[in-house]
Amino acid sequence: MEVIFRNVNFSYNVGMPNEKKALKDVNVFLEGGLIHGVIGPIGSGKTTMLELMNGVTKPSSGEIIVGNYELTSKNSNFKFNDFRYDVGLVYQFPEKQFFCSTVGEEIAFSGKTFEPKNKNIKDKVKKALKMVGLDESYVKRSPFSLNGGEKRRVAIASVLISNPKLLILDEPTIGLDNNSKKRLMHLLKNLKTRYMKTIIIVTHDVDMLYEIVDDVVVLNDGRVIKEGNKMDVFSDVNLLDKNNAPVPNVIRVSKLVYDRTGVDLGHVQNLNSLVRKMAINLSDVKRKVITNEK
Amino acid sequence: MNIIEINNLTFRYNDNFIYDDFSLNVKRGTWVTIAGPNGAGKTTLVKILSGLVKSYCDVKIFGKKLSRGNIYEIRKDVGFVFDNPDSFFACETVEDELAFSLENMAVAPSTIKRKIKEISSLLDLNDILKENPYDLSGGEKQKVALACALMLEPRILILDEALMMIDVAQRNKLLKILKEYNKRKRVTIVSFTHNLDEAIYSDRLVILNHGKIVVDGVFPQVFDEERVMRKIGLEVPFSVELSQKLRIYGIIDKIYLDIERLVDEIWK
Repeated sequence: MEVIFRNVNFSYNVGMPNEKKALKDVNVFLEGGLIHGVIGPIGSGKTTMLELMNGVTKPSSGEIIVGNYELTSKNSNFKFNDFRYDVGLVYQFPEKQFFCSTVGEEIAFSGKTFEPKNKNIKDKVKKALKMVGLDESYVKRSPFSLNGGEKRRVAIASVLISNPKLLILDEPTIGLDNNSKKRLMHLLKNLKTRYMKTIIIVTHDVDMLYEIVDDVVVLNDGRVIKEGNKMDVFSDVNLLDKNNAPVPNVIRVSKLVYDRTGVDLGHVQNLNSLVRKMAINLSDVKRKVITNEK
Repeated sequence: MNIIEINNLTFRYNDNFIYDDFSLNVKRGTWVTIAGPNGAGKTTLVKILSGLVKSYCDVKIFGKKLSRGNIYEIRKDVGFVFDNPDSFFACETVEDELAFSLENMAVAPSTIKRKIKEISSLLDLNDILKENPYDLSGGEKQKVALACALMLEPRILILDEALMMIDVAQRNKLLKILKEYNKRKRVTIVSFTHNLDEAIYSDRLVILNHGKIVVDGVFPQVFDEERVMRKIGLEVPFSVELSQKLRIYGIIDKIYLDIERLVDEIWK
């Protein structure tokens, strides 16, 4: 399910003294079936962009198309319920929206909202729990008794129960420890490859993004600075630095090595590949010196 | 001298024991990071220190035992910054928000104005002073919440995942500012986080798991326990992870917290 922004502008507090332009002439094409990342410094317009593509707010001007839905169309045939069914949004701290007494009721709630006569709701709850890696024993537990990582996964399950084609997540790894983060990354990769979902992630956590994402959009001060394949985007460290955008640690070290020594480590995929390339490029003489010193 | 003393803390939610005979002391003027995975008991400890939940144990702050009678007096000198600033703001502009606590304490307007100038310059908030705090991004909100706590010139600053919405570059900048503030004003800082990248700016790292201290030490030696950290689900700082891997290859022989120093050392 692709997402298209054409000449999109958005301002907060229009006509007020404190009017603030959050997005300026934004043009992006996010291809369906991929994982996209949206990055940028604080206040760059990331969350605004996400809310626009989910139809939570309307742009001041421009055109937004999500799959077959023209969000900015004046056409009265636009079915917002259908759109909601196809697009799932997971906010920052989704667990703060919990209000049911059991995990099962919490997950079933949105399923019942979209399909009041949903007969297979129990099975769907179990399936949604399975998709996020939680077993059936969670159905009867209170969502408030879970730890941070489990709460986040229950929140995602409550979105997945309506089987959205597009899943949008705002800072999904915030507040999660490493194990919970890894499980979440595995889940997102799985949702893309196994369930063919299009996933859009807004985050500061570029190390996580670098591992799972296909394409990246970089925003600064409401404008798109760069858009494209993750390697093309993240290899332009100077541009990212100039725009206060985060850079994955492995790319940052690779650039530092080049700047200090002139050694080009080439394409670095992850920490293991960085270490291997550093070891290979380090001269045998140097290694011998260290061994002798020991 | 210990500014915070927790002796034999026992705390439970229903039948679930979060702490059982837990003790911890924090020395005046130091910066201690308390880290742990989700469910380790970090937020419970923050709630106990802030008096939001009552514990039947011996918790002393400034040498005074925390009780219903003196909690407000103690809280005047303790600044808290919580993880979600959305539930915190009460005013229509950032400037009013910064002034709010001091106005309630009947501080002179000229002093408040001077303090706002000082803190907004320190945390780089001058451009957003006239904005509505609810219109700000998550990271900006967290900066404002931190500024509000600093306005009161607390003797102890307690941060509960207070910087997690801020991007890495901004966060490192803020941590350096806080480090300098900690040394200059002799403010004791206790920061609760699951992110060990933040911890390396502090003096001491305490790691909790299931209500018990599993690691307690200073930098960089504390990262000799990185296996324990990893085992309980914590992500060690990138510089530590890189150092460890390079150690395995025999390229370096110790842990470097500063990547630039690490690269210079290898290719010197």
